[in-house]
Formats: sequence, structure tokens, C-alpha cells
Amino acid sequence: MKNIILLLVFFWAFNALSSIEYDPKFDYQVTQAEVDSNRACFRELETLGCGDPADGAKHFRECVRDVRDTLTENCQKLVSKLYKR
Amino acid sequence: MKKNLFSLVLLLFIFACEKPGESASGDDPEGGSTSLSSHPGTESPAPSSDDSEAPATSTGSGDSTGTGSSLPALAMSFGTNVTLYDFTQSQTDKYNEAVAIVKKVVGTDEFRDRILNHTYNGIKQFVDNRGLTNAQIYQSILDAAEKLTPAKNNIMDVGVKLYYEANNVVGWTSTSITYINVNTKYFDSYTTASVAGNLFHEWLHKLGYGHDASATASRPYSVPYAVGYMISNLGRNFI
Repeated sequence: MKNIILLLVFFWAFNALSSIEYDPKFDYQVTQAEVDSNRACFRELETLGCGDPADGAKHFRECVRDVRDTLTENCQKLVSKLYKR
Repeated sequence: MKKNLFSLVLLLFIFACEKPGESASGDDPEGGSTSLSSHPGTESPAPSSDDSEAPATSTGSGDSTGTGSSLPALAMSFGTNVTLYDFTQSQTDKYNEAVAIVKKVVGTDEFRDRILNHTYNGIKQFVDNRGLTNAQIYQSILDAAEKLTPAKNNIMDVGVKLYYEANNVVGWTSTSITYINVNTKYFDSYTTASVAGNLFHEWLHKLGYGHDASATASRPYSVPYAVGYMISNLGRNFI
């Protein structure tokens, strides 16, 4: 009987469930102005030949480094926050 | 008597693997699934270093990227292999965006810096860190060696199943399955950045990181919670 209990505890621990409860920190609400500003920046970078960061981060980063000084002020702020020189 | 006890153990084992309400379909659910694979430089998985080796850091002098930044090459080549089970087209579109956000955030210096500088109790550390330093945790994320698919392939390998329950659980997984379960109660209203954070949180469990089951004061500083927040927070920039 003792062995059975040990076995049960083992199986229970081995298959532990991990759940995430609702937390406002995950529920980010972004203002439309913020979204528009960020999108405009990435469109600007795309126009300059940087492409999409999800498609090729290396190329994107190299491109950002090259065009950083020509970007609009808001866009420079955004890329400076995300990508160091 | 022994036979009955054996049956009881077997039944309890099965229930421990599956949440009530889930069919015991195992790890490869039947039905429509969509696989979203993306890994830059698809010729071969990027090589990865051993866990015991320190990754390139923001203060490192080496430039392994050729970009003038010390961001590890693995951060830029980080790929995703996310299988969606029984998603509608609009759900697929939304999840695709969230997966793309994960890749974009991992490819930033800010994400690396936030992990390396994460502090709990005045020390650069995470709660429930499995004895790993912040740098080793960052490296383990880039290695992407899930416990059930342990090759260090630099690719987030995970499946996603949707369900609905009117409770405060956003999603869950267990150590014995390769997929995560996402509650549509939250998925439907979440921004793609929040969905990305939730995906990353659950995937970090696949890497072996855990956290307190109850909402303790230290839980937000665990690897799944803290890094999940980082993905959500930085992901806002890519919506």
C-alpha cells in the first residue's frame, strides 16, 4: 500500500500541470496612436529596404544600423529602444 | 485486490496527464492542424553552445553577429515551429501575428538586456531559476531545447490547442505533452502582444521552468512569468 502511494505521488509530480492565471500585466492595451506610430516606423524601415524583422533579423538589424540617422524622430526613438548601436 | 489497485493507479495516471474535459487524445491530436514553421537560414539549425558556457552579453567584446552588436547570432536565427490544432482562419491569422511578434522580440537587444538584468531581491536572478544565472537562462531560451524534444535546435517547437472555460486560467500545459492549451475566453480579447506573452510563458514550461501554483508575491519573478511579461511588453512595439 505504501508503495502504491509513493507511485501515485511520483506520477502526480511527473505530470504536474502548469497553468497561467489571468494577470493584467499580460493584458496590455495599446492605444491606437501608439500602434499607428510604430507601424509607420516599420513601414518606413521597409521602404528603406530593411524588410520585416520576423523574416530576417540579421538583415533587418544591419539595415537599421545603416539607415538609423535618416529615420524620423519617432522612428529613431523606437529603434534605439529596441536595437542598440 | 492487487489488480484493483493497479487499475486505480493506471486511471489516476491517465487523469494526471489530461485535464478534465480534454479527450485522452495523446500528444498528436487528430483533426485539422496548421504548422507554422519559420527559421531563418533553413539549411541547418544554428549551432548552439553548451548550457555551462556563458552566452555573449551586452558587455561582451566579441561581435559574433557582424552587425556591430553583441547580440548572439542565435537570437537573430531564433525560429518557430508552432502547430495549431483546429483553429479557424481568423484564429490562425491572429496566432500567426503573435508568433511573429515572439521572433521579433527575441531578435532585439532590449529583450536580451532585460533578461540579463532581471532582478529579484536586489540580485540579478529569477525565482525558480533551476540554479541557472540570468545569462544561462537567456542561453537556454536561444537553445530552445524542450524537455520532450531535447535537441538544441534554436527553434520553438510547440503545439497549440484552444478550449473555452469560464475561469481565470489563460492557458495551461503539463510536462507530459508537447502542446499548450489556450483559453479562448482570453485569447479572443487579448492583443497579439499578450497572446505572444502567453505563448512564451507556456513554452518556457516546455523548457523546464516552473513557478508557484498560487499567486505568491515572488511568482511574477519566475522565468515563465517574468519573461512572458517581457515578450508582451516589448511585443507592443510590433503590433
